[in-house]
Amino acid sequence: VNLFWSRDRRRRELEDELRSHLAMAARERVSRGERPREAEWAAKREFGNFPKVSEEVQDTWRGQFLGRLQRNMGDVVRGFAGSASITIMLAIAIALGMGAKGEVFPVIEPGRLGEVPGAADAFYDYRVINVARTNTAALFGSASANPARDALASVGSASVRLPATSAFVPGGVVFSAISVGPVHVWSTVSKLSRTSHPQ
Amino acid sequence: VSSQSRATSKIDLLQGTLDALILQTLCWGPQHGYGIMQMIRAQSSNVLQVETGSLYPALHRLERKKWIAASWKISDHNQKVREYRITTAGRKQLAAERSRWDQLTTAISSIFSAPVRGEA
Repeated sequence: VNLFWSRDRRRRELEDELRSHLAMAARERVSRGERPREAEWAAKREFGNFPKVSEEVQDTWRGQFLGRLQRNMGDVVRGFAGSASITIMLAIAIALGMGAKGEVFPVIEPGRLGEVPGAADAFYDYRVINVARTNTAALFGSASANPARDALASVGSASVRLPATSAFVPGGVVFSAISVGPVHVWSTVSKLSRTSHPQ
Repeated sequence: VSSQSRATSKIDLLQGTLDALILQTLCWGPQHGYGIMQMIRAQSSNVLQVETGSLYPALHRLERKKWIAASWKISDHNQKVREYRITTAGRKQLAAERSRWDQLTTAISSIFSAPVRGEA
C-alpha cells in the first residue's frame, strides 16, 4: 500500500514540478515584453507534450518500483523463513479462512435471521452497497449460485431480490466478520436499502 | 539535446553526456529544472538546448542514483519549485565522466589531426 501511495504522491509532485517549469518560462517571456497570454502559449509550445514528458519521467520510476517490490517480497519470504511459528499460524489461519467463508455468507441468506409472518411469497428488491470488504477467499475464488452471496461478493453496489421473509432492516448496515486467532480473515460492511414494495 | 542554430538539426550526444552536463551545472549551485535548462543553453552559447522530455527523466534518474538530491523551495516569485543539488557521490561521478570525456576528445582529436595519406 505504501508503494502505491508513495507513487501517487510522487506523480502529483512531478506535475507540480512541470507546472512550475511552465510558469517560470512564461514569466521570463513576460519580463522580456511578451503579453501574458502569448507568453503562456509560447511557453507551452516550447515545453512540448506535457503528458508525454510526465510519462517519460514515470518510466524511469518503474524499474525502481519493481526493484522495491522485489526487495519487499524478499523481506517477507526471509521473515517467514526466520519464524516457523508465525508461518505455521498464518498457514492455518488461511486454511481455516477458506473453510470459514461458507459459514459467514449464510448470515445474510434469506430466511436465516428470522421470518416475517404472512409474507411467504412476497419479494423485496434491495440495493446492496458494500461499504468495505476484505476477504482472503477472493484469492481462491468464490463459486455461488446464491444472489445474496454474489451481491455481497462484489465490492461496490448491486441489486438483489430476496423473499420478504428475510429479516433485513432497510437502510441498516450488515457487518460480517471472522477472525482466526490474531489474523483478520474476512469482513464485509454492507448497507442494505429496500428499493421496492412487496410484489 | 538539440542545436538551436537550425531548428531541424539535432545533436545526439553520447550516452551519459546529458547526465554529466546536468552534474556540471549543479556544481555551480542548486538549481531547478528550468534553471538547469537555461544555464546549459547560455553556457553553450545557445548551441545546446535540452528538451524537457530528456531533461526531467535524466534529473529523476540521477536522483535515483543519489548523484543529485531534490527539495522543494519557495522561489523569489513566491512559487513552489523543486530544486536540485549535487551530492558527494555526484561529484565523484562527474570527475569520472570528465576524465572519460577528456580521453575521448583527445582520442578523437588525434584521429582528426592525423595527416591524410598523400598530403604530407
